[in-house]
Amino acid sequence: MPRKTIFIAKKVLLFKEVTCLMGKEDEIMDRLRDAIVNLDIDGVKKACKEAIEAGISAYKAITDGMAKGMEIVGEKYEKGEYFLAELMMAGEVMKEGVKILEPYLKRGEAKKIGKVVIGTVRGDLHDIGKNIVINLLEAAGFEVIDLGVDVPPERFVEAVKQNNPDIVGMSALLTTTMMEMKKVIDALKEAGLRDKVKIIIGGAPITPEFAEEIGADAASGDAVEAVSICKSWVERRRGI
Amino acid sequence: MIIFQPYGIKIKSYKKESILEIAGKAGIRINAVCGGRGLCGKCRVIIREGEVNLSKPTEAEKRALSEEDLKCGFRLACQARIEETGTVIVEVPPESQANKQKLLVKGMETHVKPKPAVKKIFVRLEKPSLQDNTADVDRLLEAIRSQTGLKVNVDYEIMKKIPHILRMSNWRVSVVVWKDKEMISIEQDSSPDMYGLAVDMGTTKMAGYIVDLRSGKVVGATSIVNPQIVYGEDVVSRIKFSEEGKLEVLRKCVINGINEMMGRICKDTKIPHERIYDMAVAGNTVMQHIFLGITPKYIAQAPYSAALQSSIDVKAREIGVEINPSAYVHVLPTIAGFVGGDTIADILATKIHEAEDVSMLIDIGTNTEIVLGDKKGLIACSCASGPAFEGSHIKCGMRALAGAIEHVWIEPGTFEVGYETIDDDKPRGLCGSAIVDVVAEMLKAGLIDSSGRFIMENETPRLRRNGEKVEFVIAWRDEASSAHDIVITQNDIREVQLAKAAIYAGTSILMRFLKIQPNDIQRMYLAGAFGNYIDPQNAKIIGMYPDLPLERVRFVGNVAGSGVRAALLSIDAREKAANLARKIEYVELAADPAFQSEFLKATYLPHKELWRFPNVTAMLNRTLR
Repeated sequence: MPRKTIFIAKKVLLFKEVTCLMGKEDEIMDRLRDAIVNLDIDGVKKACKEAIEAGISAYKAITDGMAKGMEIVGEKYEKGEYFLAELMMAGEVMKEGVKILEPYLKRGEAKKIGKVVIGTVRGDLHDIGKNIVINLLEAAGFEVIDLGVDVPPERFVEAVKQNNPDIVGMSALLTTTMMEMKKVIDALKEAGLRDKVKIIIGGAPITPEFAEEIGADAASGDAVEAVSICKSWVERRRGI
Repeated sequence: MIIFQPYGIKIKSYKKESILEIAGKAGIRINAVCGGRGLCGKCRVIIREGEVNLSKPTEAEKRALSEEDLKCGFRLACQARIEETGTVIVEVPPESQANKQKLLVKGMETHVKPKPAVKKIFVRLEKPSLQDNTADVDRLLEAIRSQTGLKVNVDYEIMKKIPHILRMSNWRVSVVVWKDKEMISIEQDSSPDMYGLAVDMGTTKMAGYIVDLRSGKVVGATSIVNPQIVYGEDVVSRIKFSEEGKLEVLRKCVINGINEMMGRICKDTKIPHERIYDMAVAGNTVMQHIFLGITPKYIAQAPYSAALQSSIDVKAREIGVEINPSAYVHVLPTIAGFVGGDTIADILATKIHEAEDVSMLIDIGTNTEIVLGDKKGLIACSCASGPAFEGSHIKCGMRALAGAIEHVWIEPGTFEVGYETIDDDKPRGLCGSAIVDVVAEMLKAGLIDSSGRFIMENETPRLRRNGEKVEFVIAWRDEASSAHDIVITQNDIREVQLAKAAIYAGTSILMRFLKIQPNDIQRMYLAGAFGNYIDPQNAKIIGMYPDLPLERVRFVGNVAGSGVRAALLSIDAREKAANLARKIEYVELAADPAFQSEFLKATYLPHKELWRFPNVTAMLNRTLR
């Protein structure tokens, strides 16, 4: 990786101008980001430990370090450079890093950015897509309540009552089961919970038109898009 | 002298001639995408006898074939030359045959001893008289009983004809009896001819065969695109359509399709429709439900239960197929919601349920069925592999029609592309076999890495960016009969990765289920109604199925057709089918906790865990170096 060497060399030059600590911090943040992009579990673990030792705030290491890496991974996926396995792997790597940093988060910082109840609808057993979304949501700082597969509308309603989430996510692979999504939305309406949550749906046959038709708030084409939609929702909510 | 199999063609040969040249003289076309330079490895043949009379394997052969394959007699036809006089027997495997008209109706020939469900009996009756004025029907039945010992009933529509035909024929008639219990035809002439119709109903294509029920020979065959295709490409979209109250529309489509095929064969062979006394039909579970007019709705919802699993015999006139109206249509039993009578037919044809050794059968389609086991027992699963191998969801993909590129070879280093098209037409797109080739060849040439990503450092004008997306040019616009270059995109590669990962994950979970290792599999049957042959070597390189020596792998084409013919011809085969349907254990992949990780690892080319593909890895290391 000659490019990386140059990169580090530049940082070394920076040493002279800025304080030694700042340079070190930047270097660790870059490594956190790059380790995520390169799906390097050992690299992330090492960089996280060094971040703590160097006195970098755990919160910053996550949001300005690893999360930046996840953004790049997402871009690479959208461009076709990365595929499902890399996406899944990046989420795993990030979670390993978060595990190390979590104990050092200050009060308030450990708070999740939002809560999502998610499941594959009744009649459908397919869950790989849903699991990738969960993985990325968790990496992005969401608390996720996974209801699993073949989930009837009542269980969605119950989970919303119990957990009071910001978002409900539904997945379906089959065109024959996608109508179940409407049943879930209707059940939420009936229980008076519809306006308390945003609803996002996804899966091979799902289109934005279908989302509109059944009264969901958004349809996502892939896992990366799903996460960025969820993020924009909670950010807007916090902004208010 | 060289003998070419399976053609049985003998031809004189001279020293220094290559097998490829000799085949050319004999009018046998063998694939040679690189023009016989030993580069593409497409002209693989198997030397069954007389290897000593040939030149030693060249470096090119050592590159294209593994040591194990060479030991088993595999050679490249363009490289192996005659050194000594003496007989050489050369087998040209299906994937190397370049006979342009590759009928999807062709499958593996399965030997079945005819034991049809129908019998034709010539009956002489005593004329009625004042002394014996027994009624016509009773007279006929009594004559049948005394002549054959059979106690039969009469189909109601036939009963109406009896008085007239008995008199017209002067009390000598031929009757056809179904399963020794029901008379389904009465005729004045004494022709012994009996024909049957076998139909393989694919989601995309249907194949029909008229078989002589006495000799077992196929007298005519044809195929058509399933007319239901306009209502959706895959079974799930058909189910969706049927739910909208259109089940009968779909049913009529398939019946019309069958009648059209039969009409075509009957016209060519001059066989009258009424002489077709029996019919067997198989398809996936959804197709069979639609054929019978039974709602397939619940098959597509967990827990995916079908309405009907056992076989069923229905009168042709009730179904609407235009064979003899009183005849029965036999619909094969199914295994599960997504493993249908066509898989039963695959098993009947390959006879893996009778084999001592462990076999695996993969029937590749939009839904790919996999069966694993031996005579002690079989297990099966179905994977949602998607239509990529049928050319769908691929930017320049197309069905295997004239002008479809069917084989591709990429020269490492220069990245020049060689290809062959169906009917030697100008290229119009890529069909399934070419799509498998392209991905394997790009991997071999170092154009993509094992994660499936294009390696942009390669310098060739064929590799380019089209906006944000990367693509590789297979055929330039000026050589193609298309307004655009024929390309393979990064997304196309992703589609292939998804498809093959679903299949490999299925094989892997079945193997784990039976606690067997890939090497325990002695026979691998690759089936599929592609209309063209995928290259088993390249399918293995991309990791579609476990890394087995080529010797054990056979591409059997539309083998379901052979199995349906077996069921048509023999009630013993039907009995076996019934047993299979009861005994085969179905594994639901979506419910298997290991599926996700198996699937994701299998999206790599050939696999994330290279130890699972030792031979492919060794081969890739050789070509990439």
